[in-house]
Amino acid sequence: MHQDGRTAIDSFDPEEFLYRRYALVHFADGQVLPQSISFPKPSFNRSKFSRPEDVLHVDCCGGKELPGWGVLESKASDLSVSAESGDKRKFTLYPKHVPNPTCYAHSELWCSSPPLEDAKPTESSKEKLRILLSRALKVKIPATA
Amino acid sequence: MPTIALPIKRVFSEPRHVREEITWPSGSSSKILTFFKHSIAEAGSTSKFLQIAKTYQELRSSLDACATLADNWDSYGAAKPAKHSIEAADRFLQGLFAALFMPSRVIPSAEGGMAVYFSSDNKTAYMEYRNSGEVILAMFDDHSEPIIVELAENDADEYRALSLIRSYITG
Repeated sequence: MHQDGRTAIDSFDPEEFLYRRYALVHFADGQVLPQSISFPKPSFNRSKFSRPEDVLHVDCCGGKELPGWGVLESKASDLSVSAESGDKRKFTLYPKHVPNPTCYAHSELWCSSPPLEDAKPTESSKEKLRILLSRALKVKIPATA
Repeated sequence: MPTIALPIKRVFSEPRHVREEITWPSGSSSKILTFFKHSIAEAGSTSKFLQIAKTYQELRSSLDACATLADNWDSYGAAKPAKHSIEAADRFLQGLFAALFMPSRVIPSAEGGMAVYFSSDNKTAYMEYRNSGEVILAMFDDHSEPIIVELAENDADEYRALSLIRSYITG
């Protein structure tokens, strides 16, 4: 699970899964709520280097124990959502492997808007992206707390 | 004082088919019926109000609980809801209560702030009060493009939000 000197692997298979933890407060009517996601660069664990439950491991939670929390999953391709701003700029999310020393699988969703690879979406676009992400995420391990 | 006649007790020597006849009251009986209709309607509306009042109290409790969150409550580095975000959500709740239009939940946002949620069938709407002072109204369903409106923390925008949400959720 630890980085152990390994470097980031930039490529993601579209079928690769990304995992994210959640608490019950952010779940309603069979769906995770957009309020569980924050920008910029929301964090995930990539399935190439971790199992779903690893996202709840203290080494991937900054030393926190989170009993009863659940795990969400989605394919990398389904999380690559886009939103257009009022001035017609298009913001698209894409996964980026950003290993942590204690959590090699740690990845983030970055936002691009040509020509920028690291763009800041407008407030309206950001909100649309949060909603689209919440739609794409499905429960892998149900939360109980 | 109206009186109600007791039903006549029917005794049958053996089971047999009896045709039930409904006789609607007339004259003073009609007044009795009207009296009960009004009473039932009044009890119904009182019960609805009590239900709304109960929901309001539960949401206020949720808000109080959110006010005790610490930074990094979501384990991904979220800021705790700021005092003014809690107060803004509280004011909105009070306005909703006055309009007898209650949301379904109040939750903290990982963006830092509070969100007030409405849902009906497959439609969802929320008002999010950010610690940064931004106010976002979002309305969406399972399929179509989300509708996002950026608002300000003032009475006019909150009234506008209430109107938009009510129209979207109940429309």
